[in-house]
Amino acid sequence: MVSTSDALDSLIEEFSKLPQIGRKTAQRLAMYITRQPREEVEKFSRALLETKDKLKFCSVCCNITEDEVCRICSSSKRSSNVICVVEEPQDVFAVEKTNEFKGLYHVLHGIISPLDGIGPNDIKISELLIRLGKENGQRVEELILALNPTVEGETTILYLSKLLRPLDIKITRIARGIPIGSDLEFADEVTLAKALEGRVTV
Amino acid sequence: MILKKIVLKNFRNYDKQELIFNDKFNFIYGNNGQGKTNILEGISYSAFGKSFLGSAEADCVRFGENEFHIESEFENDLENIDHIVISYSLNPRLKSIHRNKEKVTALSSEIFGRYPMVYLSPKSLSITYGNPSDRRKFFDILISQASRLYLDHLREFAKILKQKNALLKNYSVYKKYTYKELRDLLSSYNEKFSEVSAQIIFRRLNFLKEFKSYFEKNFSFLLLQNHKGYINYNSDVFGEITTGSDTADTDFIRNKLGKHIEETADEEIARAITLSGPQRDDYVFRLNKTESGSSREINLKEAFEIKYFASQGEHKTFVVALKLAEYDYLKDKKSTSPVLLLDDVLSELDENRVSKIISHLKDYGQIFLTTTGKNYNDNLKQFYSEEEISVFKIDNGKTVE
Ligand SMILES: [Zn+2]
Repeated sequence: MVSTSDALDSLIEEFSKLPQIGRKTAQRLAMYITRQPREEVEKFSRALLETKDKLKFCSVCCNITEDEVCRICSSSKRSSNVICVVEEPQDVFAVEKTNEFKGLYHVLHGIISPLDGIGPNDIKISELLIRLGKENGQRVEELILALNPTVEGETTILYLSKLLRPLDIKITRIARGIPIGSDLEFADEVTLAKALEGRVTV
Repeated sequence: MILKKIVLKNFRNYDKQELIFNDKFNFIYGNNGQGKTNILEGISYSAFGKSFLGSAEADCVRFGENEFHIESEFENDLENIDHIVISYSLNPRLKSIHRNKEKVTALSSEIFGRYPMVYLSPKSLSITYGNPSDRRKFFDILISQASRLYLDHLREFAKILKQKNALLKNYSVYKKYTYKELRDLLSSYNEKFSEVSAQIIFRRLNFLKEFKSYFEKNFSFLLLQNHKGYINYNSDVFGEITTGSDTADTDFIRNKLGKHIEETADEEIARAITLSGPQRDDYVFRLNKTESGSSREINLKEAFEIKYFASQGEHKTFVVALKLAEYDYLKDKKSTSPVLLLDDVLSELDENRVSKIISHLKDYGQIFLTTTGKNYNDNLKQFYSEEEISVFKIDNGKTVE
């Protein structure tokens, strides 16, 4: 694309830095912005800055929040003796959507992956240890490790369970529904096989 | 499985070429360097989404062009047609595979293992002559085509191995962890490593047990004498395991491997690399020439190792037997006849083996054969009728009549 505006170029550049946004999509998003009324663009840019300025990590669970302690951690309706450990804040949304879990969370903000140079000290593991060692409040009885069934997730679970073993807390992990590496494509085939097996005469 | 047709566009030395194939025999001839093998390579792209010669996609784009396309049509035994399109562009680097207009990935079950194909060329001799990695690759691809689960284990294993090696390197080169952190992390990786390794080794041993009869049948078919060939499995941890001996279960393999890895952890840390596991195991090919030994269990002292002691002819017999066994095995596992690709094999094999193979070609499904001379075509006419043979003469990236 022949450049006609430096401002537009730098906007495209910024959009293309976002995860899963390619060059073409970045161009489309930038063109969309140019067509919006000024108020809309102002709202958008304010939202970006406010997110950055106001959000911090919850001092208890490390989830992102605007407060010192997040809404989940400060809720009196939740039981503090069960903690569900997840990789990212969006995993909290996913578990919350099921409406099944009434305990608290701990967000690691990543997963151990030597290939990406991420070790135990690069994610919120020490925060978890400090939290579990605290004598105040209710004792934590169970820790649910709800990490993704990837190689990195599996080995982080093994590492955490070794690390936490001396603490005498029940450690569980969520059931693995899909075989590693094969994603849903394999499940589709099984489903199809089942459908063929159970076919009826019309 | 029948490959009905293929269209090559800007692939290797082909500008645009459509080829309609015979359900039975496709005789492709021409001088060297004219593009006979390129047709077979294009066919392998259709079946596997990649080249069986291991070429990089970028090398397959016709000189001066930006992208190649390969379109093909497979017909299965129920006469359903699958339409496969493989596209690759240099700039931007992009490869896509479509099956019946739907985008799929090369290792997805929509492609991988669905169009069984056996490729025999002089290069196949690397299976017996080459490195352990050549043998592992041959068997890994074969087992994966029959078992989706094995392929999944291999992919998971590759990831663990990469992570474990990165961990060892992060420690020794970049001093990223304390020794205690390293040992804790390493034991987590080793636990997972042993678990998946055990699955892979267990499946390889079971495969060899099953493959044994397929191999023996083809080996004795090719041989004039009453010699016997064996395929065993060899690893640092378990030594040479005779195929057919009681297969250890996955727990046994996992524990023994896990123990060995723990014992050698210091050496792995010092050398910053994974030292044992299925990524270093090998297959051992042996030949027993003592006539009396045919029905007894293998005696390793009587059976010598192909790699070190076999003649060139014995190597060839072993490889052809392996390939024909691969064919029979896939045929049973996939319940369809694989496509057989014979690339320039006639010149490499002696008359005896060639006439033996040719006299049995009728037992196989669709065949593609490349050769420099036209004379074998006459040889074939005693086995195939006129309409069962299509002849393609290749000259500089074109078919000429
Ligand atoms: Zn919180």
